[in-house]
Amino acid sequence: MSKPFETPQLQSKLGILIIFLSHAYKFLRAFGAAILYFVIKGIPSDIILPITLGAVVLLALILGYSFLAYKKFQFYIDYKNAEFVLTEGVFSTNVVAIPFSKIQQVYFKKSLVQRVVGVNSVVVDSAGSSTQEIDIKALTEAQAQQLQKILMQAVREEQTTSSTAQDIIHEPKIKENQKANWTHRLSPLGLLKLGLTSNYFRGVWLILIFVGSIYQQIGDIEVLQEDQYTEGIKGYLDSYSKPVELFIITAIVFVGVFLLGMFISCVEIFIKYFDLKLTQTNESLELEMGLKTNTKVSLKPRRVQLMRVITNPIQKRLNLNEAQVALASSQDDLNKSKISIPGLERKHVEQVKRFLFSHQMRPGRVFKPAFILYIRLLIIAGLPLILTAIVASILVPNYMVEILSILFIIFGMLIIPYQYYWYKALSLEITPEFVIMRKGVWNQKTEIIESFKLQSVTVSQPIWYKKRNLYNYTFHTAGGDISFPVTTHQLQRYINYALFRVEVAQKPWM
Amino acid sequence: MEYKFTNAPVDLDTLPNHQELKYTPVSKARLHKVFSVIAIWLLLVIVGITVLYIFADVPYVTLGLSAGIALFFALLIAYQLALQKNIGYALRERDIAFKRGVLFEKITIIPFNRIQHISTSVGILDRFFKIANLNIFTAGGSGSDINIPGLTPEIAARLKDKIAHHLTEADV
Repeated sequence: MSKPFETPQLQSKLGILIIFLSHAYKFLRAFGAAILYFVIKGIPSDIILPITLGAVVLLALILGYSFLAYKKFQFYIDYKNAEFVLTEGVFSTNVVAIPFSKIQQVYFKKSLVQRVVGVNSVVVDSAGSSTQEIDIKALTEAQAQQLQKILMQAVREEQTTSSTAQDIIHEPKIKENQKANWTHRLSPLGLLKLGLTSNYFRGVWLILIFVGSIYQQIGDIEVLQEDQYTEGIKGYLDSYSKPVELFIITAIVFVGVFLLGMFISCVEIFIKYFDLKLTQTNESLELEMGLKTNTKVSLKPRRVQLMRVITNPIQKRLNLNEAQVALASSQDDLNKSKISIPGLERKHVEQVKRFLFSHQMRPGRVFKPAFILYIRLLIIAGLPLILTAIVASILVPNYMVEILSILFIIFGMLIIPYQYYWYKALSLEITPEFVIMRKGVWNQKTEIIESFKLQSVTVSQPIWYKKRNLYNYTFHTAGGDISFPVTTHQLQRYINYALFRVEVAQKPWM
Repeated sequence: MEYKFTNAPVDLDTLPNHQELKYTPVSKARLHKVFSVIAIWLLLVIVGITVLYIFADVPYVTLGLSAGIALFFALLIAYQLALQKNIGYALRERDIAFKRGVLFEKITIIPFNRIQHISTSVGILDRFFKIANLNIFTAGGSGSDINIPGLTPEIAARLKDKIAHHLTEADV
């Protein structure tokens, strides 16, 4: 009897539907502007027939293409070469082979469509670049489970035979279904709390992007029409140009955008983190979340390169912390493998830390940047103001007093205290096993690296810091860097120490 | 092999200090290559200015332009001369350090047991001036990689071998 998945496999038959829908959606988006135009304007009766006919032919073509794509999409396990192989492509054949030793993780994903159709995505993530990632979009639950199990099994065996590292050897001994040590769930109320206390700027930013893209789409159609539309807006603005009314309108727009941003932040958080469930087993942290795309990830301590804990004063009071974990990833996309776990209690953050790191946190030496950094921050933040003053002095020389006083108020009331607190919050702690950086005034971030997982260090010195003996330090990991500016040469000894930790390390860093 | 865990206290002052490293400069041929590239650009710019002078001679423009360009190239040459003195590498038992930069001096140190792969690359001009680049990659992204230019092919090959040798030694 042959081993499972040894012969090339097709996806579930429903895969045809998934491929069809995704391609049809792409076309729909591509013709979005045209369709919108027809919906608004109504289809001229003389071209109804050709358009319908064209659409039908197009859909038939997509269906045929989907069928071929489905037939060509085959995957199998090459036991002899210890690889997972995928062949795909209708017109050209594309072969992706991932050696077992490079497989980082195998996890499930479900989009809304996939949930409706009733299939799973199985994603095989590798340490290589993003093209070396396999996404099998349509497997039934049973198939997906089986594939994951067999792949992980194969990977484990492979890594056991090829490595002497202690913790891998012990891995297979751990029983298959272990009991959960603890579980963290995020209730709808928790999500709401999180949404109301998170950063609204992101929501506002999303609105701007949305409005921008709509405007552009409309603009594409607008070319066909006269520009009476823009004329209308101009006239509208002109009739309202009394200062008080203008001020009220601006205020209303600002409050509206703010509220809308808040609302969108909430909705986004609901969609992203719906039904979040974090479970710790003996071997890994299992994370499941999401409304639109349901992601299941299993975190292994060995893969974790950098951990970040984020909170803000309000969330601190509510005991909400966000833990972000960066895994080893390809250099072009460090954000791809960042995993966010929001709404954690402090207790659970500590548990996550204890699980992910092989050592207890011990106090270490804390470094602060030199005071000259504060001066530098003030100068950099002040530059736009000086520029504004220069431009204003050319454009409206009559209002110089007013403009200068506004700029001085901004500088004195906002920039000086803000940069001061930012500077005060910045610190780097080097403990025997960790490098920890803290920063941020409102969003307080703590970034933690295990010293032995460092990839390299960079020390840089601009020529004007030479006399003061100050340096900038960067700690590189496979999951992102920690950069610490303008600090005393005392830290150099700890650079030597960090290098020492890496060079004596026997443990695999990934 | 059983991995024994020990955790003896470490005296920071007894650790090898990377600041005491002596950096080996790279080959003069790198400077020759850079200068030849600058010379080619200079030639092109001179041709451009001459054409401008012949066809549209606005008073002082050609003069000002020439002065500006002369200053620019003088600065460029001065910068490259200074840079040549400031590029260097240092090999230790367990890591390699690379120093570069004039206004911003930057030192990156990569432990051998974190190197993913090493390659040497030779461009067309490099071949003409008989130099090679040594590229050392880690998993830490582009900021963490180093690229040592202007090595003689023999030294590049020897460095590559030496580091690759350490690589296997560290792995086993």
